[in-house]
Amino acid sequence: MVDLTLSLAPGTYGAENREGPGVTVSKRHGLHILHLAGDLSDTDFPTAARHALGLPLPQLAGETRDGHGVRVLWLAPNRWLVVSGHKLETDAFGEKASVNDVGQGRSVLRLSGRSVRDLLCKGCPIDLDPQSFSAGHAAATLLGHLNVVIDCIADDVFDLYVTRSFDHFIHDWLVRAGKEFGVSISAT
Amino acid sequence: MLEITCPYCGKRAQKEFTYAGDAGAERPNLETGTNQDWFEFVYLRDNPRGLHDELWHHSAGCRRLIKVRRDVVTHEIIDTGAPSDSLSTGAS
Ligand SMILES: [Zn+2]
Repeated sequence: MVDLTLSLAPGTYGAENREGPGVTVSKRHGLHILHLAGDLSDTDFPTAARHALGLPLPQLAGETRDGHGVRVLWLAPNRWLVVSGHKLETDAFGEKASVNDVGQGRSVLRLSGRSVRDLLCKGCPIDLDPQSFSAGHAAATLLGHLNVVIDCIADDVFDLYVTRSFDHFIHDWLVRAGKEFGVSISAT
Repeated sequence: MLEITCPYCGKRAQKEFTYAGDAGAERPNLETGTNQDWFEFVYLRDNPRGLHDELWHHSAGCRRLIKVRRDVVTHEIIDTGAPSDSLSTGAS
C-alpha cells in the first residue's frame, strides 16, 4: 500500500544524551488489524472466536493475550482489537461476530526506551506506573487530545495505535513532548 | 478534574468522558405521550442542589454510556454503574 501520510524525517530530535535518545519511535508495517465485536454470553461466539484466533478472548478490562502470531486487546465489553502478522479469515469468527478490517485506518507506532513512560505521561491521563500498567495491559485512552490505544509490550516498550490521518501530528507531538529526553525517529 | 470510575474500564480521568445529560429523564410512551409530555422530556430539567444522576459517555475509552451519581455542590462522585443499575445513596 502506498503510504500517503507525511511523517517526520528520520533522525534524532531534542536533547542529545551520552546514553542515546530516551525514546525511539518506529512504525510497524504489515500488520492486519481487525475490530471484533460479539456477545460473550452467547455460547457460539466465544468458541468460534477461540478457534479463529487460536487463543481465548481476554475478558478482563484492559487485558491482552497473544500467541500464534496473534495479539488480542480488550477494548470494551464485547469489543476487541485483533492484531496479526498474517491475514485472518473474517468468516472464521462465525455468524454471531461482527468483524471489521480497520488495518488501513491505523498507524501503529512502536515506542521504546528508558524515558518512554515519562513521555507518555505528559499527554495520557491513565496511570502509567509500572505497578498498574505493565506488559499484558492495553487501554483505549487519550494522548494529547487524540483517541489512541496504548498497548504495553514490555516494561519500556509500547505500541501506539492512532488514526492514520493523525500520523504526522502524533510524531510531531512525540518530538515536542520528548524534547527533554531526545527522541529518535527511525526510518520507516 | 474529576476521576470517574467506569464500571467497565475502572478509574479514569474526566477528560476521557463526555457529559450526556440527566439520567432521570423518562421518554414518554410513543403511543400515549402528549405534546406536553414530549416538551417536558426534551426541554425541561430539574436543577437540584445536591445529588444528581447523570449519564456520561466514556467517549475516549470503552465508548459506553454509564450512570454517575454526583453531588453537584461538592463534585463528589457517590457511585457509578451501568445505565440500568440502581446506584447507592452514599449513606453508609
Ligand atoms: Zn469505560
